[in-house]
Amino acid sequence: MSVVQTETEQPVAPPKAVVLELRDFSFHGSSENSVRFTDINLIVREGELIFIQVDPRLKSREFVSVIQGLKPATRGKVLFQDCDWEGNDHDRHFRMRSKIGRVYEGHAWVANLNVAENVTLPGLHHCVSIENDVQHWAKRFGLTQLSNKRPAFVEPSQLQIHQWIRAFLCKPSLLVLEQPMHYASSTMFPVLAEAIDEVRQAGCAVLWITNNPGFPDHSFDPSATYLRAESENLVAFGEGMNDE
Amino acid sequence: MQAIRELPKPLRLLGILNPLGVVEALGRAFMGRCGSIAAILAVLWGTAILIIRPSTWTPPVRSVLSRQLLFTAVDGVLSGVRFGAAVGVVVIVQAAIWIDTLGIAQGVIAPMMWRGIVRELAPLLACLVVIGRSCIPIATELATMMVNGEVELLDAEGVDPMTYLVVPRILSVVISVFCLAIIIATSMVATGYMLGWAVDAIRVDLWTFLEGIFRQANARDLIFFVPKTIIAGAFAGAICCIDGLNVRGTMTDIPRVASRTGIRALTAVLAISAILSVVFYGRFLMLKIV
Repeated sequence: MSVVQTETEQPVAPPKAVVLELRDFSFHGSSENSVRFTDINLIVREGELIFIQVDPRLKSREFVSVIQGLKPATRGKVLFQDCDWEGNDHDRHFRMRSKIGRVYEGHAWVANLNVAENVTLPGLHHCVSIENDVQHWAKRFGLTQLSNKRPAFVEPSQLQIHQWIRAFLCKPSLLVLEQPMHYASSTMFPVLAEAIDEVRQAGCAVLWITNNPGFPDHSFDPSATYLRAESENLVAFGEGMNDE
Repeated sequence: MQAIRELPKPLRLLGILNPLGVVEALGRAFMGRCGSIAAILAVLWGTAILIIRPSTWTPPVRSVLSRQLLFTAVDGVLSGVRFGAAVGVVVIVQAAIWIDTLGIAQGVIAPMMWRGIVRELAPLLACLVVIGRSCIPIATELATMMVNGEVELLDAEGVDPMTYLVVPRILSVVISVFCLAIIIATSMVATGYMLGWAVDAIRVDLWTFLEGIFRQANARDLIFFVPKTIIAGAFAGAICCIDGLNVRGTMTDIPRVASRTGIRALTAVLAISAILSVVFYGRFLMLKIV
């Protein structure tokens, strides 16, 4: 069993609130190419950024679905803001999920809605007004407006940027980014990194899952924690590292 | 087998037929039907609860409802009018034949049309139009979304699929069946009168004909018409949503789901129609003229 505590070492300040906790967590997935974990513990606090590097042959989608309470863990508990995903209180579960922004690996769109409708759907469903938020993040990521085409007719790099906007809307408490740079131009990395720094300052915890062995140089503020999924375990391989 | 051979002949036959197996199969089928009905009622109950909850009606849900109404009700008007016109012709032709055969007065045409149309034909035809035009596409759409992982995607975004996908679809089917039934009834009466007047089966002017119809109308017919369209529409909508969201497997399973949904919805509508007719009028011959 590995215990990975990612607390920011600030002895003066009280520890920040825990956003996500995996307790004695095991997950074996339904397919062979699903990322697996056995008896891991992970605590992610407000404002923290954690990179999890997974084998390029493995998919993280199911694992993130477990984090969001969409699938059950094989063993152990997943706590989001001290609440678990158990029971039949679906309203509570949907409210909890509305606080999680996610960039999906693989299929991420409702095919019969256009991209703009897809992006604004969760925001409009949960928030009172999202117009300013949409404009802010679209401008931030270099878009003048959201695409009005169906996802099938938009090129993947643009779709990926629209995914970023959707994930950042409505001030999420947790951002889960599965391969966020997939299809996106590497020139967009600093833009995404700066956006992540901004939401972290506001208290958002960020979980960045990648299969890329190296990251472009960027000094995250505060520094990030780097973990590697290895032998069904999470192994720390550097803290505050921006270059491998 | 040896034990069976030792039994007397009648018991031996029962043993070979395996009556317990037959009973078990019947019981399983019965429990399966009960389970299906319970699932439909549960979905309808959940839908009713969500409909009256103001927090359900977020802008995306309202948008889905308006699109679905446009597709199911508004786009279905022309089909409904065509269906109504065709059946109106059939009804008036049959009425003329029976008047000649039985030698009864022409005055019975209006009440006969009114009762036949409002009580039975219009709600049934509206359900047929909605099932054919919308329920099967709804089941196909939901099944495709399910197979593509789009329902899980909505779930992951914190959007309740029941609220976003099921509630507006069932509500739109209910509203559409009710509205189309009125349109179809109007179309049938209008076409029936025009054709009857043209072939001299109806010899009164339009106002007298309409007066004859409305004189026959009573509150009971309307009380029957409203719940019949609403209950049949609700069942049809719930069946297509349940079938669509219950699909497990791949894209190749979707056509099977679509055809099964059509048959199930149609069976439910006919069964509801029959049950409500018997319950409301307390008799089996609906078109009996008093």
